[in-house]
Amino acid sequence: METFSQMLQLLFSGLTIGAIYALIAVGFVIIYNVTGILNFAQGEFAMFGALISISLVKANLPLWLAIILSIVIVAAIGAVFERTAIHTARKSSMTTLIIITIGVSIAFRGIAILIWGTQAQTLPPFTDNTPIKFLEAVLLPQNLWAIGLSIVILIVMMYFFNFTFTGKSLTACVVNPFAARLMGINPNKMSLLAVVVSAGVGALAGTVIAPISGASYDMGMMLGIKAFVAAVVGGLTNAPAAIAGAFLIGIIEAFTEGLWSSGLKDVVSFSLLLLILFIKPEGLFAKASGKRV
Amino acid sequence: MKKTLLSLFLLMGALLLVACSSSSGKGDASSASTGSEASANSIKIAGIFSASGGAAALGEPEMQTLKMLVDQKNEDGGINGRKIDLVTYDDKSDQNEAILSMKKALTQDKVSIVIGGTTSGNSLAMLPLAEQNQVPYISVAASKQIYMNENGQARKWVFKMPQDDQQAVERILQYLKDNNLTKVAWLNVANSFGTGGHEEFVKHMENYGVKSVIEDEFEATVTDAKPLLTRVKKANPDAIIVWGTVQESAVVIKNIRELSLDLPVLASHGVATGQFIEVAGEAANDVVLPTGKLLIADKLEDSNPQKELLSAYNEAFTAKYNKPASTFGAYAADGFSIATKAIEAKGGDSAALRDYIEQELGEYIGLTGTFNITADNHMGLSPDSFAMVRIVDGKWTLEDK
Repeated sequence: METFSQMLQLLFSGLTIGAIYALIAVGFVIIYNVTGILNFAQGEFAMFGALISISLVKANLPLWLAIILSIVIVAAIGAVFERTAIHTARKSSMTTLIIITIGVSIAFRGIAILIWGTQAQTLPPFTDNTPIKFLEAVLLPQNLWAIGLSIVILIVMMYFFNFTFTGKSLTACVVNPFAARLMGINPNKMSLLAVVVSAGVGALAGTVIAPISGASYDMGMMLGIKAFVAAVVGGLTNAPAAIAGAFLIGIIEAFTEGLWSSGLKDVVSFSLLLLILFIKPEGLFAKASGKRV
Repeated sequence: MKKTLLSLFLLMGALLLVACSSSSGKGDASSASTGSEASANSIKIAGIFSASGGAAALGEPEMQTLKMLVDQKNEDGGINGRKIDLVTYDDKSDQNEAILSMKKALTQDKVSIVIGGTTSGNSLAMLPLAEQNQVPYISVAASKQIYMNENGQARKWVFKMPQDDQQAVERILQYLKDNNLTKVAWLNVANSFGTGGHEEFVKHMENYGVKSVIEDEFEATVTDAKPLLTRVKKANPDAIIVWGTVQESAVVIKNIRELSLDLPVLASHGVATGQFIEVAGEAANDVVLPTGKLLIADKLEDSNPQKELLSAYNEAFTAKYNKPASTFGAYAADGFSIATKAIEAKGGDSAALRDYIEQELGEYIGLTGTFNITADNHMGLSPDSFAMVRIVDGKWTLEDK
């Protein structure tokens, strides 16, 4: 019984952390899908989301308003980032663009130090956070928020990319930008839209995780890297696959930490990344197609 | 001809630029005393701190403390009638900047003594220069290696103000022994602070009759330590030690409360700031940790000679900078008062200052604790320079001593 409740506890932890990775991984996928760029500033959107919402709460705004406002603000930051850093350099090679995003992520961290300093801060949980006991294992309402929100985002994204005109247009841009342009789709506008949406989702991830782990200027980097691993493991071209990959990574990490050693959890998840890249580079859950990543 | 003229002109322009930039480079080094009459009437000392960048939370109060104390001393007429000429450098939390600042202080400003090195990394980077130039250097960072070389001998020109992690670990072990908590779980953050603490713990636990039933690490970026804690729960300890700094310790301790592991929780001196109470919230209550006495100065007994010193420093700092004094600032204050004593006795000769601090200073009561600096021990503090405090309703209360 004790072993069973430990397993259940590990599963809960894995799902929570997987949900956070999922929200950030979705951002990677959206931008990659539309522009072909791997945006390494994705984790920093989460950092901004967390820290801005904390500041707004400190300014006595109600929590829900602070969260919505911070998502809007971060989406605006995303828009500025796309127009100034990506759009102006859109004719450069992919490598250059990716390096630009790394540069931007460092700049974002610097800006965050200037505004919030280096101290850790925290956000109150979304709702009353009394632990829920379930078969001797403990689940927090905030964990449920994290898991629930990422499932909602998963459904929204599936619907958006498969059943709406804008979503289809976004996909068309990456499959064949030239043909998309002939069909009257403006790839520039789509690129802007993609970055704005993924910045907003990233900010949401930040506000979800801030009550769980606290927030500081450097929180984005590790989250971004893990989410990237999750996206690659699941499949970079496909949002639902990336989300599945994120949950997989989260659960594997939790079980490695719980049954083996916490030092080894990064080893295991990064080894998995290498393994996937060798064996199935299009991702575990992605449908095989003619296009190679 | 015209060409040579032009190139000459350009050359002059370039020289002018260099001159400008080097003088603006010197702009980082601001002299706190009025004018720069570095004459026989003044004694030059250097303060090198990470007042900006990653370690600013530590370095800024150190810098502010030193400036405040030097100003006070100069208003009171200086040391034996000689003014203190303080040169301060902000190393921006960067090791290269720290080395450059040290070089400037020693070779250009020719100071008599240096106080600074906010982080262990910066202190370690700076100290070879002090040794080469034979200028005493008082470090305000924690690592043991700062005052001890690889062979465990004292570095001739280097002294250190804060305790080592060893004293904090021993203080925790003493507490565990006193409270008969002998089977403990040890969890440390996976960085140099954490592994350093772990080494000391393993080295000393047997002396205090403490056994560990589980030892493990968590990342500095930990978001959920519950998987790790399920193993701790299985090991069935009497108490849990969480050795880390604010953010990661807060997460782990929150998780301990969420899993309702009803055990005493001990933390490192690294979380002894109000920030920890803010981030960990309710979970911070009942955490016991070692800390410098500044935090609980008003709760010390009146007979404690440190009480008056601590309150005076706290009041002066709060009055000037409108924020509470920090333990880190106290390191700089101790460094300065030891330097002052040495200068009072010996003047501005670097070698004489060093000898005085090592051989003649004797027992010295500072803000951090009672220093007993000897030829073998250039730090000189003992575990009882830490007090054990317990967080009760978000406030620090004295647990013992």
